[in-house]
Amino acid sequence: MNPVFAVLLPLVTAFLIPLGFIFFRKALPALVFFGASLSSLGGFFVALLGWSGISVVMGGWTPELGIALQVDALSASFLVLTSLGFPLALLSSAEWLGWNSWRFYVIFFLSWASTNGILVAGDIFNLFVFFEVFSVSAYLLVSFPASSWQAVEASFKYLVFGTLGALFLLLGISYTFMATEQLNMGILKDLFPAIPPPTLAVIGGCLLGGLLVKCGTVPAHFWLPDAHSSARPPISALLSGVLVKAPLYALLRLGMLFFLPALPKFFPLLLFFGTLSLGVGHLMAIQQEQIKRMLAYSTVAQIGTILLGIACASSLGITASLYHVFTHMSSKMGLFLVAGIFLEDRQVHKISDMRGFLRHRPFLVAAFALFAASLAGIPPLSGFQSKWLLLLACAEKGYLVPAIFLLGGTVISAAYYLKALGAFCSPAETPPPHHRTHRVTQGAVAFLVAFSLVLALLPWLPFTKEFLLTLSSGRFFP
Amino acid sequence: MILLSYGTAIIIFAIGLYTLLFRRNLFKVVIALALMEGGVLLLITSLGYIPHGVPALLPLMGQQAVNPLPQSFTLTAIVIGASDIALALAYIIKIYRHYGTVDVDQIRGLRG
Amino acid sequence: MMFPLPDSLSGIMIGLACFLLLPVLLCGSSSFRGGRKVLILVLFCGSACMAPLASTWFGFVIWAELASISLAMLIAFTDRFAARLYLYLQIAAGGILLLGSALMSTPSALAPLGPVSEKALPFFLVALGMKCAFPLLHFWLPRTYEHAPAEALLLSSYTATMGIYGLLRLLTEPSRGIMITGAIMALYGAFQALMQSRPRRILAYSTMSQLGFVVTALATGTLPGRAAAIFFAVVHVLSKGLLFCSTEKALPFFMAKTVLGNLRAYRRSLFFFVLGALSMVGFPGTAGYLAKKAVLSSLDFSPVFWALQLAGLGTMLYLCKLGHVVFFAPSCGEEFPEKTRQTLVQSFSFPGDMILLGTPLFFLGMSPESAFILSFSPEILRNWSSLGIPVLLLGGSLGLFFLLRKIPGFLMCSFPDVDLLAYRACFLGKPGMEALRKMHSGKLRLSFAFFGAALVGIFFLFSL
Repeated sequence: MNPVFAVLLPLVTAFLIPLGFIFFRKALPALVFFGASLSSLGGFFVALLGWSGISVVMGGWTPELGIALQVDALSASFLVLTSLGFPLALLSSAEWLGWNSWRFYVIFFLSWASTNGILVAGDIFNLFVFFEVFSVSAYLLVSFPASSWQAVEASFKYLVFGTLGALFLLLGISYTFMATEQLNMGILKDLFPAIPPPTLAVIGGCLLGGLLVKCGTVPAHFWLPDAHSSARPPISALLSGVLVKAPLYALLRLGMLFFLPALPKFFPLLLFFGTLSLGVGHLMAIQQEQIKRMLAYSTVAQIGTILLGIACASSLGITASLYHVFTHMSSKMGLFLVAGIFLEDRQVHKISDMRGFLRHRPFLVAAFALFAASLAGIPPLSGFQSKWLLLLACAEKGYLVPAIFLLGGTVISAAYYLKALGAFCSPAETPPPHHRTHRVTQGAVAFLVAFSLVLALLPWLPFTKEFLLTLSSGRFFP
Repeated sequence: MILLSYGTAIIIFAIGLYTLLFRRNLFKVVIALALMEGGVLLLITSLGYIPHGVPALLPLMGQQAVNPLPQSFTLTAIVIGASDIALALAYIIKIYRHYGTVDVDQIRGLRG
Repeated sequence: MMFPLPDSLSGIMIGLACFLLLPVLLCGSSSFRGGRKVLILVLFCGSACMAPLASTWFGFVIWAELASISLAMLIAFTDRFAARLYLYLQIAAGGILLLGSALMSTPSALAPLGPVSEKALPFFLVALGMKCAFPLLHFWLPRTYEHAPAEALLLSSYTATMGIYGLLRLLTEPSRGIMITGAIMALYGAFQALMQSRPRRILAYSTMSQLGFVVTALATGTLPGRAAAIFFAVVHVLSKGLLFCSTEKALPFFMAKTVLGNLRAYRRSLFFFVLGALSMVGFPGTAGYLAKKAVLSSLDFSPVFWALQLAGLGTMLYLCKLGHVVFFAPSCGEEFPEKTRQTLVQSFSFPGDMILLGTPLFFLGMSPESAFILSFSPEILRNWSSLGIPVLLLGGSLGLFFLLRKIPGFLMCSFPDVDLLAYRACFLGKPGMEALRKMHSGKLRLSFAFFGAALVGIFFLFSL
């Protein structure tokens, strides 16, 4: 099966939505949900069939000239992530934002198409194009609706920072083309070690700088707290849960394909920035008074955690980061959705004012506790197991200081999640009024709870044990 | 390989970078982004130059054409850049309506 | 020297956990709210029974962390700050244990529960030291004990014993450093306990001191020493539990004695307190005497031995002080929160928990053959002739206490400790956090500057 279907299905839906709005206004929800289910199924199929590796060049061109698409076990895992995350966010945002604005759904599907595009791209220029579509749709998603000045300011800052990063990325790609005359990632993999060291240094610096901005790592993370906290709750959930993972995938792919054989200094530097993100993210999160900003800084810290695994550059490290990517997606999406419901109920800004929810929305408080415990690393949940795998990876390479930062991060994240939970469980004088029941969002939260528990059981099933062993044998990249 | 082209491209990029870091007007920030983008695209296009090459237009009359691959990237990247700039300008209008100023250092509503 | 798993050591730990369930239920029966406490208690018991059955360090950490979390939830019913402090510390200790275990494992072969390599040993020692209140790592102990409910404290002496279990599995060779650490713990704990004026703090430092005895015994590395260590730990849990329960119930009754005249309850608490104190001090006829004798006889006459004798003297002194402060001093009980006072006043009915805790102490004391673990050190079971020295020691220290009582300020003083330093150290971090906050002030050009500086650094490092 051609991997292009993972990109094509959401893209076609995005283009059909304005037509549907003009001609069949009443049928817009049906069109959106039909398109979403098709795209999700398409993503799953491509992931399933691509597990053992597919490589396709579009249009019958040769690999040097054509658009190359490839899927392997790593891309397939990330495709499963997007095929799960986007429909959940769509359901929740359909309930939250309504059907008045069709433009939102167009941007949503464009974002879906471009995220899948990053995951299946096989040549670096295509990667850049999909990156840019991904970024522009992310800027627009953050600022929707444009009636809130925080969203517009956050989106503008994200735009400027993101474009700066994209330009460095483009510079890196053009220097690569200058040095090798090739764009296909499979061909470049063999040519990279032959590039002279000064050029390699510049290429590495530009690519690393650009990808650091896109991922939201310290010192280029300043846009992330603003953007993730000013967006609407289901969009924040999408941003934190799914959209930060695509640049991480690109970093992983480019790092392992190009820089592992040619420029090994790449990985210790990545380790340094990852550890810094971990520290800064947790230390800033504990000082926050608004819950969405706190969760956004927690995302910065979790990105640092994932980078720790990537920087170990071993199959164990990559397995650990992959597992943590899934854990973070299920927990953070749930946390943002629950926090959004609570904020809408209470209409306050400070965490200490968000009280009295234990009596009125007990299921959501329990779900928040489960997600927070999973992210903080309480046994036997999935966050604890990913922490254990990361510790194994760091110990294997001898990186003790990042491991200690990871453990400190556990304690600090337990502290700020407990602060929020304590506020939720304290009694309040006036009960919070239910503005809306949010049935669909609660259903999404329930699904995420179930997914989180399944993830916690996953390392113990025989199939995944075999998956881990194949990863350890190194049969991972084309 | 034209060194002058590459040099110009990098100098334009550097001017854009300088403007981004040291100028406070929001419009100048957007101009800086456009400048940086222009510099990189100039670099990419000059990469495809082959000495004594003609523009890559059919019919070729048996002569060597310059590499058209970088030119296709440039076209794509120009489109991307144009949409970025348009979006940025729209945001600046909204920000001005709220803040009443286009000074970057005054736009600090989200902090901490 | 190694006990195979699961073996008698695990059996003792599981037996102790199951045995403790009943006294804790009886002790806390007054303040159960809708069965939540019972659920948490069941979770604690379950994880405490699974932990000794784990055959790898990884499994041990999982169950030990679950037990600590359920204990923190129990403490949170009356004192949220102490619960949080305890939780953070136990999570940190569990994390360091995980790191140490990761240094020795691969994904398919987890590190077995036993001695570890040189590289990983410091991590294990720090982590288990945090659980067992090694000196300098004990700063959480006094604050956690101050307002927690008595049943939570019973269980917290059990979790300290889990740390001892970990140390027993870890150290199978004699270790001079750990022996000296144990001696310092015993002496320092006794000293600090003597210097405190609040009953709960005295009991906290007393825990540290008694654990010092245990650590010293297990660091000898010999089979009698290790057997003595686990026996002493079990006896300590029982006698300390008795002390907790009796002093918990006494305080409001001392005040109530003058107001409501509940003299019978007061006398009952005093009786059980004296029982627990006698066992802790090592009066002949109690299990504490056997335990202390086993520990002391596993050491030879080195400075460590004399240090432990001195700590024994200190034990008697601070127990006298505790008894005085709780039962005989005119003003006490104010530091208890009003809520606890009221529930205790209404609920003191049948001292079932204290009877349950006290019975084994006497049973083991009178018939030492029933404690099979003592079969490792057979000579102490026969040697009733050296009774004279301990009794003399106890009588002498009692007299010393009556002398010291006259010194002004002795009874109501309170000596500062490491935990104050730990709290002050948190304030040192404030300027750093402020600077971090300033960095995120929303200025776009400042963020560009940071990114630019990082890029320059990246280019420089790549070009080296």
